[in-house]
Parts: sequence; C-alpha cells; structure tokens
Amino acid sequence: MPSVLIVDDQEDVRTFCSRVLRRLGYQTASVASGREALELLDEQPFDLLITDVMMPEMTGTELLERAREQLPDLPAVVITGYADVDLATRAIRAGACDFVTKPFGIPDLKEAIEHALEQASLAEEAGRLKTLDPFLELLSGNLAGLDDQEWARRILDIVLPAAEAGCGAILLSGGQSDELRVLAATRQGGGPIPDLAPLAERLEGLHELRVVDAQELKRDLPGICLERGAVMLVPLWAEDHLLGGLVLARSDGRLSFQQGQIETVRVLAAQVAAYWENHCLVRELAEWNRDLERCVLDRTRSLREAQDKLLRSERLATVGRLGASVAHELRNPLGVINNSIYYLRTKLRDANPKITKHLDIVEREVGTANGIITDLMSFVRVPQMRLELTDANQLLAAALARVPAPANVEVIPSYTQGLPLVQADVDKMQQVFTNLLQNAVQAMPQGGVLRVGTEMSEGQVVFRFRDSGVGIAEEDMARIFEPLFTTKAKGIGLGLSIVKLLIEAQEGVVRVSSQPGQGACFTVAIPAAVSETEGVAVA
Amino acid sequence: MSDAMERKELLLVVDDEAGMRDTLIDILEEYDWRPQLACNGLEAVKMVASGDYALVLMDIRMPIMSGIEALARIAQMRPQLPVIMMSAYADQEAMDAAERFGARALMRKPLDWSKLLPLIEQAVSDACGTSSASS
Repeated sequence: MPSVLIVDDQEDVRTFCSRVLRRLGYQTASVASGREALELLDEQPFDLLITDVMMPEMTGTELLERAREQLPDLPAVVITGYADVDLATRAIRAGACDFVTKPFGIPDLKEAIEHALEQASLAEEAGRLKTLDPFLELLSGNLAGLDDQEWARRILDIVLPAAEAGCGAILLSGGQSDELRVLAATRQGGGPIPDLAPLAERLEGLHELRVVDAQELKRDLPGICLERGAVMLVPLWAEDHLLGGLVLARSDGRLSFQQGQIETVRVLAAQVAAYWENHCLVRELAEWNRDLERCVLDRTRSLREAQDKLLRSERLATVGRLGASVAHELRNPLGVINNSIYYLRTKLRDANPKITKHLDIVEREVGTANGIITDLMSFVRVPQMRLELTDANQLLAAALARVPAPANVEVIPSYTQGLPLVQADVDKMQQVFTNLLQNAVQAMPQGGVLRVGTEMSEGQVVFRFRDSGVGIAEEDMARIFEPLFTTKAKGIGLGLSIVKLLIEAQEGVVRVSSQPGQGACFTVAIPAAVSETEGVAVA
Repeated sequence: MSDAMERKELLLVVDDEAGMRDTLIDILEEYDWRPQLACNGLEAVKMVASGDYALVLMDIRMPIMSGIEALARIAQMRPQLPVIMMSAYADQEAMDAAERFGARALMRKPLDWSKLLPLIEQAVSDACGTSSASS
C-alpha cells in the first residue's frame, strides 16, 4: 500500500488530507515544514509527496527541488492558492506531477494523487527498462570471450547502480564443486571490498529475495564486515536447485531499498540465473564432448595396441614354428659336428697347435650356432620355469664366469651382501644374464666399462648391468624388447626379447634407461622369495 | 686301451641319424667301450631282449618306435639296465617322460662329452654293483 508524506504549515489542511488519504487506503505521515519533511524522507521511503507551496522558511517548490536531489523519482503533488498559476507552473517544472488549488475537495485530491502515482509508475517502468538495457545487451552479446569473473564483474557494474547499492558480490556454484564461491565483488567508487563469502551460508537457506539489516548479519556471521545499512540477499534459483546468489549492500546507512529497486534486481537476478544455468549446461556439454572424444581416442588406442599385440604374437608364433623346425634340422648335424670335433681332439692331443686352434674355432662356432637355435626355441611356447630358491649373487657370478668379457672391456662387479633369496629358474637366469652381458659387450665395440651388481629395491632383488657404450636412441627405446628388432648388423634381434619373456615368466620386470652416447643401464628385478617363517628368506 | 681283453662292457647306441651313430661309436670305442648300434626304438628293444648290455644310450625322436616308448619297454624288460636319453629338444615334456620311465639322465644335443663320459662310467659301475649284490 503506497505511503504518502503530507507537508503543510496549516494543521487543518494536514488533518484533512491525512483523513481523506487514509480512507482511500494510503499510509500517511505529515509534517509542518520543509526541513522536517527532508529529515523524514531521509529516514524512510515514501511513494508520494504532497506539499503546500506557500510555507514559511522553505517553500514547497524549494522542498521539491531539494528532495529530488536525493530521490529523483519521488512523485509529488503541490497545493497552491487559488489562481496562483505562476507558482503551480514553477512547481511542475521542479518535478511535481500535478497540483490542486485551495480550496479543494476529496475528488480533486484523489484524482491528483492517482494521476501522480500513475505517472511515477510509468516513469519507474521506463527507468527499469532502461536499466535492463545494458544488462540484456550484456547477456545476449558477446560473452564467449569473457571469463566468468569478468562477466560477473560486468553484471555487478549494472546491478549496483540500479539498486543504489554501495558494494555487492555474485556468488555462484559450478565448475568442480557445488559450493558457492564469490565470483566477483565490487564497490562503487572504489575502496576496500568487504569479504562477502560467508554469506553463502545465508543464501543457501533462502528461497526468496530478502532485505536484511547489516547489523543482523554481523551478529550472526562475525566474519562479515559491513557498513550500517540494508543488505539485499537474492538467491539465484534454477528450477529446483540453487545456483548461487547476489548480495547487494547499501553503504549510505539506509535500512531499506525502494520497491522499484527490488523489482529491478528481481528481474535482473532471474536473467542472471537463467544465463548462468545455460552457461553451465553448455560447459558441461562441452566437457561431455571432450570426455567422449577422449574415450574414443582411448578405445582407438587400445584397439590399435591389441592389434599390434596380435601382430606381434602372430610374428612370434611364426618365429617359434620356424625355430622349432630349424632346431630340428640343425641340432642333429651340429651334434654330429660336435662329436667329430671331440673325436678329433682325443686323436690329436699332441698335434700342431694350428690344428688345435682350428678345432677350437669349429667348436666355438658350433656353440654360437646352437645358441641361436636355443634363442629361437624360446619362442616355441610359453617358457616353462623350474623355480628354485637361489642366491642372487651366485647367479650373477656364475653368468660372469660363463661369459668372458673381451680384453678391452673392464667388468666391475658389486654384490650387495645379505640379499634375500629369489625364486628363479637357474638355467633361464643364466640365459638372461648371458644375453644382457653379450648385449653390453656389443654396445662397446671400442671397449669400455661394464658395471654389474645386485641390490635390494622395493621388496625386489635387482640385477644391474650398466655399460659405457653407444647408448640407445630415443626412438628405439620403445621397441628394444620387441622380438626381431635389432639395430646391429649382426643378429636376428631376439636377445632382449628373450630376456623380457623369461623375466616376465618369473614375475619379474626388466627395464632400460639410456642416453645416446652415454651408455645404457638394464635392470632385472625379481621378487624376493618369502619364507614361511620369517617373511623374507635371507641368503 | 692297448689290450683288447681289457675292453669294457657292451653298450647299445640308438639313433636314427647315421652321422650321429658313426661319431658316437668312434668316441665310445676310443674310451674302450664296446658299442653296438640300433637305428630306432624297435630295433633297440629287440637287441636288449637278446643281448647283454651294460647301458643304453638312446635318442628320443626316431621313426618306427620313439625313444620314450622303447625306454618304457626296456624298463619293463630289464629294470636294472641304465638308459641315458639324448634329445635335440630337451623340453619339459621329454624330460618328464624320460624321468617317468626311469631314464638315468637326459642329455641335450650337441652332447657335452665332459659330462656324458663320466655319467656312463658311473651308471655302469652302479648297475654292476646292484646286479652283483642282487645275484
């Protein structure tokens, strides 16, 4: 119900007006002077001002002018003496909507008031639409380039003046969490911005726009530091869930907002909520899209990997079948040659050293050929392991004794004492170490240093082979354990793939690290054997 | 070595490859054994039935009758006769089968003579000990 302030120095006029207006359903307050009127206007909002023009101290026109400085939209009706047209004209120029001349009757007053209020409401409507203009522009315009914070700041730039609020904030959920966080906070005319984040708690329990006293908030939320005045809390709802809220605080000490300001903020808030929800949905959609793309990429990759694996295993099977038949065809003649050498040796014990030398050569080459066959046969089927509890240091030492290094390669062993035993296939481990040692020697054609050793790492016994050779090119690293992959002119590229095959069949892992030109380091890790009584069996 | 009367016991060598048979014979004779030859499992079984061998040295993969089958029959016929098997494919299956039918050992080809010769020596002397003890 509209409230009207009546200003007249004549008490009978005030009383008459008050009585008539109350009967018409208005709330009224009346004062006798312009000074009192200004004070009251400062304290509480009025929808209409009715003032006498001819008053001592301050004329009605002067009151009107001064009141309008603070409240430019306040509609007013002036009361003038009969035929005092000049004064009436001046009052209209000062912003009055209508006037009544003394003596006036009830219908005159009613008509003037209704006319003034209607005009004011039209003006307010126009004003509100004008406020919305930049806002709608902001919401419909090019927001794609703005980040969320900048967007929120721009909204505050429009909302704060529209509500005559000194400072304000936009709190929104979205992104990673459902928690409300301050997206932007601004203060008109600069100055320190109070931390409004604690108000999230208040907004969460709110279904409708509410205006509260800053004092009340301070009492409930000690963290809040607000100046005296009204605070508008505007929850932003999207159908059934809270998106966030607007907080607008007056800093002029007034304890309320005008109805028009509240209406404007309500409209703006609805727009902000709709925009933000839309924005979040679009973002979510984009994320889904990305997830989907990622998913498709992942699937494509694993499909390709599966294909590669299949191809590799096909190739392996071919190698295996070939290996089996080659072994069948070659092992027997090699065996015969080997026997012949042995026979010749027994017959030529005191022969010319050159003959002995050549027997050695033939024997060595038979051994090499047999080694190749052994490698090929490793792929015939899944290797069968004969695991036994073994001392890691002894395993490595035996391999070093079996594979003599060339003169230009210095082998530096380092054994860690007190290692737990390992469950390993002794023969297979010899094959693994032989391959790794030969590999290291071949990587150092000009000679170098080969550091080998044992150690404990993360519950596993680790064998290390570090050479000072040519190293491995980065592009070869991924393929180094593939069967038939080789960078050497000699060999068919099975050595390291056999190492991998045999180590993995013993639940172990083989790794390589290398910098081209700075050598390579191969590590073989085998789980330490767990004894039934003590947890870990120690050698 | 020089005195023919000092030569050692009869051995049966079973292999389908002529080259293998020829070289095995020469080496064994060089170490004073008296080897005789069979070309497959069936021949070996027949010869064991009629002859008095101290040891059988037999390949696994052979036509007509495999070494494993011959081993099983020999084990039935002459449980005390030591048999050493040879194979170019010393895979798990072969090892298991050889072990199951009581082979003294399974040697991989190419043969490691530094191991095989003492093994023959040991097996023959063990068998002689048992047979003299039982008789």
